[in-house]
Amino acid sequence: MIFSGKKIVYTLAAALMCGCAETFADFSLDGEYPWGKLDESVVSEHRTFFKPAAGKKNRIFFIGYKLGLREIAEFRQRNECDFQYWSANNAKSFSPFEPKPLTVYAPSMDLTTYRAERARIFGSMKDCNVIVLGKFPFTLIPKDLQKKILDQVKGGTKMVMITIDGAAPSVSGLSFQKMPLPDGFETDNIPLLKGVALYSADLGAGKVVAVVYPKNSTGWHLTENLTPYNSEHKLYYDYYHAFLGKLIQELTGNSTATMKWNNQGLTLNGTIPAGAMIRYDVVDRYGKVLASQKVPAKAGQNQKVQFKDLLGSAECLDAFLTDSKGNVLNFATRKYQNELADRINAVTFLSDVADDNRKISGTVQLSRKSGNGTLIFTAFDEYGRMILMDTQKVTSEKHAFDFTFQPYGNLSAELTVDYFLNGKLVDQRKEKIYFKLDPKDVKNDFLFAMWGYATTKSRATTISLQQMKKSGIEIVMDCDVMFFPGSASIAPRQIHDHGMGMSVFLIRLLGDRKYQKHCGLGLADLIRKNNSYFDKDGKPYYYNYHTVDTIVKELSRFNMAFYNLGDENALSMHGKAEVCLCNECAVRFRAYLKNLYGTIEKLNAQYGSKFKNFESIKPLPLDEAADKELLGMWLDFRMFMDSSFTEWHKLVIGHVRKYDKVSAVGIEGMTYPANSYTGFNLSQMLPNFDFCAPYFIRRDIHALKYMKNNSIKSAWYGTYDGRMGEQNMRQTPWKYLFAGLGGAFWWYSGYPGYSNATIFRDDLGLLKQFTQSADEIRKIKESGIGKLLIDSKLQKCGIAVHYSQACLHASTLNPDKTSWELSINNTGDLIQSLGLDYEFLNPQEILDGKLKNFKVLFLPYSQALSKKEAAAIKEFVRNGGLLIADFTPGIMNEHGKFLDDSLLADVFGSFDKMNIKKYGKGTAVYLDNYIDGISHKIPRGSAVGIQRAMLAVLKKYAGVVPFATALDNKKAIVEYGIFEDGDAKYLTFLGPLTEAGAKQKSTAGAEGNAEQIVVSAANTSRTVTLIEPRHVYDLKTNKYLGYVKTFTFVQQPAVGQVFACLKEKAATPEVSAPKSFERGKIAEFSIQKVPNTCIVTIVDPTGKTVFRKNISKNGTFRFIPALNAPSGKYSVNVRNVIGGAKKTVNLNLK
Amino acid sequence: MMKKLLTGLAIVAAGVLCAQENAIANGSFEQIAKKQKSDSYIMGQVRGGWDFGKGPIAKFPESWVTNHGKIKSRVVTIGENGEEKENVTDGKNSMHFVGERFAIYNSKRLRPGKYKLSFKYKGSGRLTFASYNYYDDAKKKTHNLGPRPLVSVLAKDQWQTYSGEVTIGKWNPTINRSLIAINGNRVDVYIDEISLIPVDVD
Repeated sequence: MIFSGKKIVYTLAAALMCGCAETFADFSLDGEYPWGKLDESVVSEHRTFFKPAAGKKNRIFFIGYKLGLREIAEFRQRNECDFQYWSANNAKSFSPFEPKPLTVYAPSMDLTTYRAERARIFGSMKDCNVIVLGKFPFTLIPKDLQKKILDQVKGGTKMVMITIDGAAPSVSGLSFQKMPLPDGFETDNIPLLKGVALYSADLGAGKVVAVVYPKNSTGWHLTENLTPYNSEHKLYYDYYHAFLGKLIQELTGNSTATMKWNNQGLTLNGTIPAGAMIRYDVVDRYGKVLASQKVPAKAGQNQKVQFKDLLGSAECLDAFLTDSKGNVLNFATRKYQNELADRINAVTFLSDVADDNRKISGTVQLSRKSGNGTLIFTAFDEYGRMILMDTQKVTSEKHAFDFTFQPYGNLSAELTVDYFLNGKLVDQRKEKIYFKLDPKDVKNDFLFAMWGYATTKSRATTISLQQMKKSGIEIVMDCDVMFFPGSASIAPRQIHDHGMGMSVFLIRLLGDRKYQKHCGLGLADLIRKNNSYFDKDGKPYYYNYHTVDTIVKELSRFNMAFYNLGDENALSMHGKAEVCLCNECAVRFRAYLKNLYGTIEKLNAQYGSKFKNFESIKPLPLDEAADKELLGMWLDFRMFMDSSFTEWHKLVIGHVRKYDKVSAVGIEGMTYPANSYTGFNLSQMLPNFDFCAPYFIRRDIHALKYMKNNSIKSAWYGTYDGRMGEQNMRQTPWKYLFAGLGGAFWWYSGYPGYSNATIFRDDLGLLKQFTQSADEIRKIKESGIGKLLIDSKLQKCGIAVHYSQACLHASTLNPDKTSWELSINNTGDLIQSLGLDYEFLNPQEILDGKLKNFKVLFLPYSQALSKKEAAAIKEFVRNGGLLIADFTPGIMNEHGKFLDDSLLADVFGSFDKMNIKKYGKGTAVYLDNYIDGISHKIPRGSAVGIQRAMLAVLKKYAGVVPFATALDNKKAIVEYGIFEDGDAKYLTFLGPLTEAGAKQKSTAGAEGNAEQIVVSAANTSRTVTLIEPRHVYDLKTNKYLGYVKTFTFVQQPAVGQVFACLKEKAATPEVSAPKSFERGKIAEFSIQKVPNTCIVTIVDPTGKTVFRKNISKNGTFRFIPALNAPSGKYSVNVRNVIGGAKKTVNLNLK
Repeated sequence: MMKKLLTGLAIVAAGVLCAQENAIANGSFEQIAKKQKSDSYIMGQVRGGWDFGKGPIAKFPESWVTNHGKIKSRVVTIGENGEEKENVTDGKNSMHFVGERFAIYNSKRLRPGKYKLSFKYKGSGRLTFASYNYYDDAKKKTHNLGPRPLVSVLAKDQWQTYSGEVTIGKWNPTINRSLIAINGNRVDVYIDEISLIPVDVD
């Protein structure tokens, strides 16, 4: 805030602060909220225990939080009960409203709602006979609720307190005594229950029982509320809930009989109702019931049951005591004693991740006593396809194997080893194996990625990943590995298990981090010089630099979709501070100047200074530089800092490349790159990256041209901007696609409860705003439009826009007319509103002669030009180019030194508004403030006159004419985009938002700068006139509109519409099929006659689509029938994305 | 005991002094803030018509906020740019405004009530002192009830002093805070030594 920090002043001035970025933790009405959404709709794999349960149905009041709330649903899948629950904020705070207010991103309620919910939910607690505290300390519950709970327990309710990670129970006034574990539940057989302890304290007619699991945490990111941490397991996860279910049944008196194992079998004591039965289940290592027997139950000793010929994989023996109706009275479990002498002891791998050739090697370790052994190896991938079937004779107790898998396009598989002895199956082992992500797959089509977490082995993580996959997510960017490098082995496996690729948030580079000991920029040199991340005392120079190698070494085995070197990196966060004026940077700056100027005399001549030597130079902040008239030095210093920031990123890239030569590396979410202090010289920085996802600002999207070819380009959207209404959710992916981006990335999977900055309900069902957006991305992919546009290029119109970092800084020195940011935004928005597009050219590109490829050059507040740059621009105009400038071009040199006259004075003649002057064969137009503010005027329809005038200028002086003109009902110019591929043109129309967010208030961070305009819903008719007739197709409806020059359509709000304009009619594809079509063998197809994308689907004899891919023009594709693929006719359908003409080839699989 | 007595006297004395304190901050413009003109708020002001002088830095008195204006604004400092004492009445600085119009306000909140307002001014054109008035509703949302003129004076070549009692924010009982503002029209005016002493405030 200018001139005062007082809050009231903020209120007064807020309206004037366009583009400000403050956090408003306000109540947003957009989107669906997760609060209170917990039911049975998401079902996960499970066995039932006390379900149906005997006795009176329990009603349980749970207290839990975040992803761990899912465990309430998991418990209820296995144990019958009614329920109510309260979501705490996390393990350390009861709620964001008490005991003290906390800031919540995208809050799902306000204080009034919170109070009402608190009263309602705790008011209903009285109907519950059990209270379960899921790893939430009783002491953190507000005093009034503590009293309420304890009063209820005194009245007879039972409370189960599950403590956090081995902590002792603590309730004021209660003395806990250790109590015996439930009979018949052999906890030592269940890995994470080994050592579990129960404590109890009587209170009135009720009782408090504390469950203390053995300590098992690895950090604050753990998830489970009810079961031990890291409890995900195919077999044992069920038992953690069975244990709690049994404890609660016994506490509430529903179990009328106890069950106790002994050598003779099972002893029952208590009341055994008539008709009671015992069901014995033997369960294998993978949770599968291998055998089951039912016997009548009787009081006292029950005979041991015998199971014959069970596999060596049998692990647990369970006993269910049921009444005559099958309701479970009690449950017991113990280890199944398997006496087999011949068995598989282990299956081990050289690496469980296949190498680049998809080869896996390993050993089966066997116990062998007799007979002829055979091993059958099978593998099923994450899509259920059998990808391996091999039989091998056992020759030794250490049986080596290696397999090379076909490229099925999978990321994981389960390898099953069946051990046959004399023709009879005796044991079975299953192990997961993994395949590397193919970088080509990441870039093949419009990409849907998620900011998420996968470092904990919890059931909630498993379900959350399942849900992401179901929604079409292809890449999960894990953001926990950075903080827990030890989890780098867990995350990729969990993500690949679900058929998604991984990327990683590797590090964050900030220049002004408060707790950073060293200046980060000097640090880059320090690390290079010492070839170490650590100082001589072994302490890291930077808080997480040193984890880079550890993480990359592990993750590179899987290939990453991309390594993210930072979200919202910045030299100075929000561009507020002039980083970095430290001594280390001063030393480096002097060296930079010496290199730049050579001698102090030349430097003094440039600055008009009197420095005696380079050692006497010290970088200055802007106000001091202004006082000392050293603004040129200030500009040089900013350019130096920008280079340093780029170098910092290059340092980390170097470390990544030590281990990983193929995965993409880059950054995302650049904060305020058009600010002098954030360090982003994008045309210098981006050539080092092959991944970038800026905030969606069209200026910065255009700057992505500086990235390497075939880079991953996207942008993040989702909860961050608070706009969660359906239109916004559906429009954004189209907006990204039409801007030339290759994907849409969602921020972020999040945590349910008090914030709707998540995709999840409390039960990990999906919130509708996310499914709406996922649905639109599915349409982009299934229609083939995404691939069609990715295979094409945004049109080149011969218009260049000057893109100079020196001019950005010059604008900070002399912002009186406008800012570089405003000027370049106005210029870009004007050009795009005309149905045209532009390309940035930086000073070096101009010096390299690239202007010769353009007809028009815009100079947006290009105050600082070098003499050579000015000369090249003059030559461009002299040769016939059209030069257009807004304010004061070339009044400084490239170092920020004000000149007596503009370097382009003779080109423009006079700097009067809309002065048009011939210069050589070309023309110069001086706009002054003619297009000032046009970015805001265009969406409001108040710039039509300017747009028409500029179109006329471009046509008259440069011959630049848009391929089409689109007008709305009121004859106003409608913006559209054009992609082109050869002769084909694709016109893209983005439906406007016609609904404002519902009292939307949440916006935060740098992303608050991203763009949104809401317009009237009424104006939807569009008339498009082409410069010449074309065969026009509406790609969303697949309608042929004829060979026309003009067509009309109705613009749907908030979604994209694409029209193909072709010189020839869209063709029917021809397909070359392979001669042989066999299971496990690559069948290679090729498409001909279609100069654009085709959609390929393969349908198996059962009608199931087993292959779906969008293929580039005249491309090839491979399909490998799985080893378990059904026999019969396979229909290979190739459909032209344009017009929908289809060719089907039928192949027979024997 | 003596110590306690002295402490008590000191508290009373401090209370008396407080009662006489200027209710606005930096009334003599002695504290000057330097802000970068590239700051989005200042840039907006400049584009709206404020001229803070050449260079990338805007100088303006702390606690004073620019509002709308088409005006050249300069901090006058004795000893800088050939300035002598004739353009300053108190301390080192005064403010000089030249142009069509301007409005600035002081960021210190005022409680509704009676105050003694005094200030010094010279030059030409009309200066109006006004109050900006606000109240917060039950949801803590701030409502702006608009400005109310307090005093209007015509500047002359020589320094003049205005002194008089003004009532701020009492015209509407919901008002719970106000700010003091200065507007000028077609001015070439120096201002200094603004003082607002509470007389009878809520």
